[in-house]
Amino acid sequence: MNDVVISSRVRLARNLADYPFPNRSSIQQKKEICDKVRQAFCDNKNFGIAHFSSLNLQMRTALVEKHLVSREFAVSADGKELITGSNLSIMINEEDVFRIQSILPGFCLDKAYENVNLADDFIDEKFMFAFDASLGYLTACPTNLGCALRASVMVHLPGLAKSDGLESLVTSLSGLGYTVRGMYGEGSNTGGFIYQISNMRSMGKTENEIIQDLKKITEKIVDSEHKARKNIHEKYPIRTEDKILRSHAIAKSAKILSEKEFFDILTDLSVGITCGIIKDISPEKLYGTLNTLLSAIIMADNSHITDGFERRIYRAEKIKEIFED
Amino acid sequence: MVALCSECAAKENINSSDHSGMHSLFNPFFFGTSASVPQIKKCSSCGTKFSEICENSKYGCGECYNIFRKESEQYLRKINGGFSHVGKRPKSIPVKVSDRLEELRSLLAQAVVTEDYEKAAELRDKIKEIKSQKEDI
Repeated sequence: MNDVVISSRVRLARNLADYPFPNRSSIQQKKEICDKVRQAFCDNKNFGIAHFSSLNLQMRTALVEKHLVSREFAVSADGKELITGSNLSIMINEEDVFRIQSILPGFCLDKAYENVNLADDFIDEKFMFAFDASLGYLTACPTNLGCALRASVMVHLPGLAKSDGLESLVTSLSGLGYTVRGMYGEGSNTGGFIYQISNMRSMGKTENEIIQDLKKITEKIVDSEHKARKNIHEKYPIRTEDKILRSHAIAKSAKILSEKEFFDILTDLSVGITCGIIKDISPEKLYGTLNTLLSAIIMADNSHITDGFERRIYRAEKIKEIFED
Repeated sequence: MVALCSECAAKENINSSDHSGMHSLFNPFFFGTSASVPQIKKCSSCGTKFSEICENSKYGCGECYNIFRKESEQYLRKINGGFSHVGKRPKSIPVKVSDRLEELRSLLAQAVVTEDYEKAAELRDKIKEIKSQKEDI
């Protein structure tokens, strides 16, 4: 599973009964909410306050690459706050007042839901949510009504993409109530054959049903992707193995590595793991590099790196560390 | 006419170039004549006009859902498949018997749609049980 499912994410949306939604609240009201949230969380040792308004654009962009905040949220910082926890982040004043999300590496939807549910219980004790018995949790966008829960898996689908199986997958998923997006959510590019699959609606199902249904769908997608990868290998064994082993050699020896090359290596090594060609690396370590070796993350985490050339050198050095002894 | 954001349009399988789908959601058909479309009605809590909700597909506050309930009923039913909320609820809001019945009916409708007849039978029995308890009271 973990050679296809990169990460699992669950997000809850909540608003307050006594404040407008962020699209309608004044900057003063947004700041007031942030103050109340900071006050509510300051004594809870399981959470940290990021003081979002003090972060510069580069730092905020790195948070986008780490999937802790959305691209839209990172554009400006005024009247916003970010609460962080273990594998958990809570955006304050995004499209909804609270966007509670948990992202875990691999296929762990149950655990991700458990994380957001605990945070939701904590916030529920401190604030009065906007709620209607029949419509559920009230959200700015009516497509989020109900449980206001979006569960998603980030999957790596080079096999299906290269064998033209992706289009029919997207069509059938859409018919089943799922949406397929790029790596950074809405409107983002599908860089390196990485896609997010998530439920479209959360009305008429319990939280557990939404999670279990997505799990079943994901298992089927993983199965199709495995078959597609193996088919390509069977059809073009020499060419496939040559490409994979070249990428393996580049990853182990290169001195300079661009982001484009990095994504190509990621794809080739992942296919190599599935086909039993690559054995000295685990999929978890391979996909873990997505949290450390993307451009904005490298710049934010390493203040001594100042330009693109240094960044590519750093990436080439670090990718070697994923290989096991 | 209502304009949906690309996300909502995609969710409704509406092609961005196909405006016939958008017309059907909030078009004058649901309100009688175009003159009776309640464009000026405002939310007393946040000031959002109904026309703004139609334009942006974004509600301004929780009260908007209450104030514009009648106007947006058809649309909300369409985007949410006609189901009601059946999941978690805030601790401060206790579950009423009528809400629980509505919840079970929605789950029953869902089970019928997915042809899960075993689950549908279980839910039907549960509804009967709750109804008989209610009558006993």
